[in-house]
Order: sequence, then C-alpha cells, then structure tokens
Amino acid sequence: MRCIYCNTPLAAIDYCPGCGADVTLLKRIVRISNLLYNRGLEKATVRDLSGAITCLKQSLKFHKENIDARNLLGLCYFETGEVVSALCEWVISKNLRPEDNLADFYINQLQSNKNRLDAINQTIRKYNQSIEYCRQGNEDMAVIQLKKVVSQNPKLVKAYQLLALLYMKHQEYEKARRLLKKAAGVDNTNTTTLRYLTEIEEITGKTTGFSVKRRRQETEPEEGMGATLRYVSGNETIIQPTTFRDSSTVATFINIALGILLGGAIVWFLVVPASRQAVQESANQQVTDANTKLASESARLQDLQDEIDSYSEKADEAKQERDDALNKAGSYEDLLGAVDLYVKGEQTTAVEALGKLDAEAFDGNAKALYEDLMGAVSSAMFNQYYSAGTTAYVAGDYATAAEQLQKAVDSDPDGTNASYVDALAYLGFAYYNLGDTQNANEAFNEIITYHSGSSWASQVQAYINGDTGAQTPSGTQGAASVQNGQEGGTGDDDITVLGNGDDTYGPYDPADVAWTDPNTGLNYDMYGNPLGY
Amino acid sequence: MINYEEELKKFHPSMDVNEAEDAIYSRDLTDVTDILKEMLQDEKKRKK
Repeated sequence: MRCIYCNTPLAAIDYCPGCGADVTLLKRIVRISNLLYNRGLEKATVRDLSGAITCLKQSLKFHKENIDARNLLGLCYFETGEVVSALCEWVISKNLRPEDNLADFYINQLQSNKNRLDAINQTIRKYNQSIEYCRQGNEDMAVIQLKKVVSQNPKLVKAYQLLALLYMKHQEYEKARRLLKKAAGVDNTNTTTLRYLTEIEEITGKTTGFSVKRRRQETEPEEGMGATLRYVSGNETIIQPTTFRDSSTVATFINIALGILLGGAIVWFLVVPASRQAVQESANQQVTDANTKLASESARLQDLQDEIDSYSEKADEAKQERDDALNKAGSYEDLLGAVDLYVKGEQTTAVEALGKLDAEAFDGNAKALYEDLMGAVSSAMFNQYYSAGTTAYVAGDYATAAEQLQKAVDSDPDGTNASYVDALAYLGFAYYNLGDTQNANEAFNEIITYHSGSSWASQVQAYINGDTGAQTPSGTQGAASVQNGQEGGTGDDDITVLGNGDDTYGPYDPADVAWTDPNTGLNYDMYGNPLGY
Repeated sequence: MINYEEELKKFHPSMDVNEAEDAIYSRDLTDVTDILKEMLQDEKKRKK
C-alpha cells in the first residue's frame, strides 16, 4: 500500500515514512478490505459462493488492490459458471500486479485449452438464447437449449435456475427440484435457488433433503472422458453422456490419421473391387457387343457376297442370252440369205447355206420358213449329196461317199426322193467297204424293211451282218468292187459297174437311173455312169 | 407464490468471451481509497 499523498510505500507505523501524513484511515480501510476477504474466503470454503462473491466485492470496493480478494472473486465467478466475469477479474488483477500473481496461472489455464473455452462460450450463448426464447414465449425451445447448457456446463447456476423456473411454470416440480438441488450443490446459499426450493416445498408439501455429496469435481471428465448426466424424467431415468469432449492436439491428429486409414481400407476393400468389377463388366459387354457386331457384319458380308454372286450369274445368263440372241440373229440372217439364194434360183448355193444352219436355232415363223425352205430344197440337197456321194464311191473314196450319202439320206427323212433307196444302198456298200458293218447293216436293213419291193432288197441281203462268208462273185470276200468300163457282172454278190469301153452310150433302163444332175439334166446310174449318152 | 414473468425479468444474459475486453475497459475500479483521494483534493481546492 502506498501513501495517498506522496505515493510512498507505507510501513507498519501509522504515518507515512515519506511525507509523515497520518495514514491510520488508510490502514483501516485496508484492514476492512482484508476482513471482508476473509469472510468471503470462509463462505467460499463452504460453497456459499453467492455470499463469498458479495463479501469479496465489498472487499474490493474498499481496496481495489486487494489482489487475493480479486483472484478469489474470479475463482468464485468461475465456479458459478460466469467464466467471462472471472476472466475479467483475473485480467485486472494481473494488470494491478504483473509479477507473482496467481491470476497468471488461472488465465493460462483458460487460454491453453481453447476448445474448453469455446465450449463454455457456446453454453453461454445458448443460455442467452434461452432467455430470448422465454421472453418470446417459445418455452419448449428454451427447455431444449437449457438442457444442453446444463449438460455441457454443469456449473452454470443460472441455467439450472431458469430451467427450474420453466419446469415450475409447467408444474413439473420434481424435475425442478432435482435441478435446484444440483444448483445448490454448486452454490448452496444462492438466494434464488433457495427461494425456488421453498416454493416447491410449499406446493408439493415435500421437503428437499440436501444430502451433501461432495462429488469430486476435479475428477469429472472435464477432459472429455465420458461423464454422464443423470436425471429422472417422469418414470424414466435419463442417463445422458456429457457431450463436451476435450482432446489434445496429438489425440486429434491420431484420430485423423486413424480415420484416414479406416477410410482408405474401406475404399480399398469395398469400393475398388466394385469399381474393378464394373470396369470388367463394361469391358466384357464391349467385347460381346463387338463380337455381335462382327457376326452381324460377317452375315451382312455373306449376304452381299451372295447377292454379288447372284448378280454375276444373272450377268452371265444375260450375256449368254445376248450371245444366243446374237447367234439367233445370225442364224436368222443366214436363213434369210438362204431364202434369198433360193428365190434367185441358186438352189445349190441355197442348199449349201441351209446345210450350215441349225434347225434348233429357229422357232415360230422362222422355223416354219426353215422347214418350208428345207422341204423345197431338200430334193436339191438330196441330189447334190447323192451326186457327191456316188462320185466319191465311184472314185473309191468310200469315206467321203459314206459322208455325203449319209447327208443325202438325212436330207430326205421321209424317203420321198426317187433315188432314196439307191442312196441307202450305196451308203450301205460304202460302210461295208469301210468295214463299218454296223452302219452297213442298218442301211441294208432299212432297205429290206421299208423298201422290200425294191430291187436292192434282194441284193443287199447277202451283205447284212458283214457276213464274210457271203459269196461274192468277184471272189473278193465281202468286198465290193467298182469296175469302170467293164461289162457284165459276176452275179448278185458283186457290184460291178456296167458299161462298155467306148464313149458311146446305148439305150438304158430307166430303172437304172440313180440320179439326175439338176444342172445338166444328165442321168446317171448308181455307179456314176451317164446313161443314154 | 413465484411469478414467472417477474422472475424472468431477473435473469440477464451472461457476458460472452468477445465482450470481455469491453467489460474490462468499462469496469469502474474506484474504491474507498480513490474516494478519499478525491475528497482530499476537493478539500485542497476549497481551501485554496
């Protein structure tokens, strides 16, 4: 303490060592302050926090520099849940005496635990909000908020009192009683608490038993170890865990690391397989779709190939038809040429032209024209082939004779020509001389069968089957001989060319006329000899 | 008999941590000693 006159620190004597002023009054003021501090301390010891706060405030009014009183006042405020008021007192105390001050320790305790300070701040805000709810008439919300407050800050006496007041208003006296008992456990001489309890006792007629159970507040889980709040609501006992948790920084990091590990494990074992499977299914589906598409494309390709083949066939058919049409047109052209030759009278040339044509190439009117023309010139054709054949036969060219005589026979299938039988006979003999007994027999048999009245029928009988045993007058076994200029014959087995050696010709038997040259009108026998000249 | 409305008026909001600074600055720390000082100064002025 210092002298108010000269600010000199005072000693134990009653006057100032600096200015010599009487400082009795000052010392008395200090003694009163200390006395009030002592009373406040006693009250605080027995948890009469309201009384202690009153005494300590008075102590500070006498002597504001009573550091102990101020620190104790802050402590009492803190114990009743008035954290900010406590902080104010400690800060002022520290400013009045910066060195060797217990307030330093208290402030560090508060500021070192930021989470706890924030949590307490939250409870204060909720308490303030509850007051607003009550004033607005929103009592249900106020009750909810106050329940949270008392659970998170069990030392806030005012919260207990307000909640009890709300319960009392709703005539839930037992709930109010329980809350007030808890409030009394913090501050047992609080006037408001005692007044409410008296009211409840008067209403319910039941006294409140204060069993002072000194719960060890220090061991309560202020560090977030799972303390519970128990209270009875009607017939149920509610055990509510304290939600306020306080964890250190290391524990926070450990929790974060564990959470990351757990999350990673969950992702690895649950999410990754599922995503892999989804990817595989997608890939399989794509492969399936690709295969399906490939198959469809292959089928389409095959269809197109088939279509191409069919079109190729159609093109070939069209080409063939075109060729056939061209050939047909050519044949028609040749037919018209043959007709033109026949009209001009050139029958031989017309026969030759007709001989080159194929009867199957014509149809309809063209075929009828062809047949008519063939019928008209068949006789000329026959004569032409017959003449050529017999000429060759006379010359000994049996192969050519057979060919031409065969054409002559073929040109007259009905056998209408007068020399038809002769042609058959010569044909047969030509084959016979060639050794083709089969064709020779056919010709001979035709004569015998269809022309049995002919003179040839009896002559050719011996040559049928190529019977080498047939007797031939000329002694040549089975050989027909053609003798030019020799007269007479050796009989029926020999074919001789009749005729005299000179150039004059005598009368002839018309039956001997084998063919008549259409050009010259000369008659020839079957040996090619002119007759009657 | 407790009157709810009257009792409710007695409940005032507590100070927030953010209000601590203003509360400290606005605190009146005048004690009896300060009053004595003022009285002595007034007396001196009066005597002058």
